[in-house]
Amino acid sequence: MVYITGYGLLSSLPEDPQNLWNTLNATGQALHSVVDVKKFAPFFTHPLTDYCVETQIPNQTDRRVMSESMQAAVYAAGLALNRANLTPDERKDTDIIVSFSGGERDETIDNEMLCQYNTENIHTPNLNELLMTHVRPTLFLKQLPNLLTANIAILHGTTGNSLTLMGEETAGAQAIQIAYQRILSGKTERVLVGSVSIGETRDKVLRYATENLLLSGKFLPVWDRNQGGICLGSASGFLLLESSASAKKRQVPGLARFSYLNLTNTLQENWQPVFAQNHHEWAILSGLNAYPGHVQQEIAFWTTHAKQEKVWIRALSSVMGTLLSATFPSYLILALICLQRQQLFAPLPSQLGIEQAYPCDRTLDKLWVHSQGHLSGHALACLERI
Amino acid sequence: MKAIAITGLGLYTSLGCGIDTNWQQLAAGQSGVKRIMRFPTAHLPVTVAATIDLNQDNTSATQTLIEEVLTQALTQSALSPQHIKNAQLVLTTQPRETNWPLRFDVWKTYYDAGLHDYDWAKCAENKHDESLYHPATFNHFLTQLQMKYHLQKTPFCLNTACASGASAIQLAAEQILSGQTAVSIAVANDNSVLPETITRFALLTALSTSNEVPSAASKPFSANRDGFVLGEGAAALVLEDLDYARKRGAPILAYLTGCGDSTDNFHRTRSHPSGEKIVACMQKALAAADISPEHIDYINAHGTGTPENDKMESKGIQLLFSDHCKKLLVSANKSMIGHTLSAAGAIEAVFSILTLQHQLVPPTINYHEPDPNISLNVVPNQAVATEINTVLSNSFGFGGQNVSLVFTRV
Repeated sequence: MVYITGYGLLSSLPEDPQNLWNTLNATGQALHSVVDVKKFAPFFTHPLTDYCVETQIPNQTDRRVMSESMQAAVYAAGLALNRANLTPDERKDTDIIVSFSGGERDETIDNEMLCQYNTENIHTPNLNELLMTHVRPTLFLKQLPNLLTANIAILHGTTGNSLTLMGEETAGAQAIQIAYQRILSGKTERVLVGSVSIGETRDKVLRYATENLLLSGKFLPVWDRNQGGICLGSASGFLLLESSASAKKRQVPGLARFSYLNLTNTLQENWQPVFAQNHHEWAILSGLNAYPGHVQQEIAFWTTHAKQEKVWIRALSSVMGTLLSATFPSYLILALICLQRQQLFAPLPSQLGIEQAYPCDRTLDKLWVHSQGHLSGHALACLERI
Repeated sequence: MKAIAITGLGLYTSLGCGIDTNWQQLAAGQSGVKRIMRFPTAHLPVTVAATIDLNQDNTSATQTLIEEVLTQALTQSALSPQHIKNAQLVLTTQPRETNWPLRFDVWKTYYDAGLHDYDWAKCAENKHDESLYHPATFNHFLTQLQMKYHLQKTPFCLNTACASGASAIQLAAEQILSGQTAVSIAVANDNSVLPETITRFALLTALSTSNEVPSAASKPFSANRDGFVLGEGAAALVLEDLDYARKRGAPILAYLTGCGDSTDNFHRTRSHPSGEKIVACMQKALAAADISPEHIDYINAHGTGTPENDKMESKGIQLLFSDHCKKLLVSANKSMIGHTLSAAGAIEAVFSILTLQHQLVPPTINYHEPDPNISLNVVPNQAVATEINTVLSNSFGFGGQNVSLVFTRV
C-alpha cells in the first residue's frame, strides 16, 4: 500500500495548512484576492505566497545559483521531508522524482540583451557578442532542468535514484505514477516526488499569450470561461510517498493512502473504469483549466453523469491558476488537507452553480484528484483516509 | 535483475545516419567533429562541434532526428503495429526553449510597431503565432509523437543532464521489470549546438578550445585534454521482456543485464573527490547483473575529455577493477562523436551493443600524450578485435546523476 507521510506546498494560497483551509473556504466571496491583475496586464497571474526561504536554504551562496522555482522546490521538498520525520540516514536511500517544464531564464540578462539589440543593432544583432558579454555561469545552473533535483540532494541529502520528467500537467502526473509503481513493485520504499511551476515569468507569459491561451479582459472563475483562457499560477508541491511497511517500521503515521491511480488519454477513458466500480458519490478536485474547448467538454461530461451520480466537484484553477507540472502533486496535497479535516471546502464561485456544497453532516473519507494536459493526458487518483 | 532483450537499434550522429554507417566510421576511428558552419562563430571561444547539419530549424531537426532513429529501431525489431501500440516510449531530448532568433523576431515586431518602451506583456499581446509556444512545450510535441506512432500510453520525457540517454534506458527497463509493459522504446536526442549552448558550457570552462584542427579537438584521457567538444545525435533502442521477445521470435541483438545509478550531492558540477559515487554506480550495475568486476571485458567510458571527468572516472575504474584493469579495455566514443549531452548515454549504449555484435572495440582517437595518472588501456587510436562478452557503459551527469548499464552478448 502507498502512503503519503509528508508534504510541503507553496502556492498563491497561504502556506500554513489551517490558513490555507480557511482561505479556500472564504474564497467564494473573494476570488480576486489571489489574482495579480497588474504585473502582466492585460493578463492575470497567481503569484506565489511569501515564504521564509532562509529556513530551508540558509546560505546565500546556495540561493545565488538557484532560480526562483528551484528555491521554491527546495523549500517545499524540505517541508515534506521534515513532516515525514526522515532522519539523515533515511534520506540517503530516498528516491527523488521531479517534473519540470524547464529551467528559468535570467530576465535581467535577457532584457539587457534585447535592449542593447534595440538601441544599437536593430538590423544586425551580434548575438554571439551579446551572449559572451552578458551571460554568467550561474545562469546555466539556474537553467539546467536536472539541477532542481541536484539542489534538493545537496541541501536535503536525498541521494536515492534521481529522475527529472520534462513536461507540463502530464509530466506532473507521470512523476507520481512512477513513484507509486516503484513502491508497489517493491523497488523502493520511499520517493520524494513533486514539481514546481512559477507562472510569473515573462517567458512563460509570452509563450502562452502568443498562442492565445491566456485570459484577458474580465477575471472569471474557470467554469465561466466559455471562450477559454487560462491564468498562469504558481505552486511548488512535494510529497513523500512511502510503503505502508516502511511507515510502520519508522513509526510515522500515514496521512492518506492511494486507493487508485491511472493515466489515460481522454476524460472518458479516465472515468470509465471508476464508474464501472458501481460507486455513486464522488468528491472531486478537477484538473480543469480553460484551455480551448476544455470547459465545455468538462461541463458536458459532468452534466451527463451528474444525473446518475452525486458529484461534489471543485475546479481549483479558479483560485490557483494553471499550475502545469505542479498541478497533480499540489492537488494531491490539497486533497490530503481536506481528508485530514474530513470535509470538502466550500464551493468556489461560478454562475453555473456546478460546484455543490458538501453536506456538513457527512464526513469525507475519499477524494478523487484529476489533472488534464492541454492537448492530451488525463490522470486520476483516489486518496483515502487511513 | 532479469535480463532484458534488445531487439532494435537506431542511430544518427555526426558520423552519419544509420547503424552500419556509424559503425564503419567509428570502427575506423573517424571523427565527426568539424568547423561550425551553421551559424557565425565570431566572438565565441569555440568554433568546432560534431554537428548534424540538416538545414532545418532547431525544433524541426529535433523531430527529424527522433523520428529517424525511432523508425530505424522499430523496423529492425519487426514489432507489429499492435505491439507498438502497447509499448511505452521513454524519450529524452534537450530542454525546449525559445531560441534567440525568435526572441529578436518578436521584439522587432514590437519595436517596429513604434512601441519602444520595453513591455514584454504588450509585446505578447501584439504578436499572435505558434512559433513560441510549440517549440517550448512538451505536451504538444509528445502528443504529436504519440499520435504519429499510434501509442496508447503517453510517452515519458526525462532529463538527467549528461546521463539522460542512460536514464531513458534504465526507466524503459524499469517499466518492463515492474510489469507495466512488455515492450518499451528508449529514444534520446540532442541537437543543441547553438551560440547560447556554447556560451554556457564555455563559461563553466567545460569546452575544449582546441579550434585549430577540428578532428583533433576531442582527446579523452590524454594529458593535453582541455574539455569536451559538443556533439549532436540521436539513438533509439527497443527493449523487450525476454520471454515475450523469444515467444514472438524477435531478433535478439544483446541483453541488458544490469542498471545501476548513484546520486552525487557533493557539488553542483563536480563529483565527490574520493570517487565513491562513481564506484557505487558501477558496483550497483554489476550487482544487478549478478557479476563481479572480472566479468567486464570492456568499459564504454563516459570519457568526455574534461580534465575533471576523465580523472574521476579513471580513478573510479581503478578503485573498483584494481588488478583487472590490466586486462580491461576502456575507450571513449566521444573522441569521435563529441559529447552528445542528452543523447550520449543512449548513443553509447548502441555502440556498446555493436561492440558485442562485431567483437571489435572502437578506439579512443587523438590519444598521443598519455596522462601518467591514468593507467588504463584506452584502446589508443585503433580499434581492437578481441573476444568481448560483457560491456559496462558509463554516463555521468552535471548535477551528480550517474548511471551505468551492463550489456551482454547473445
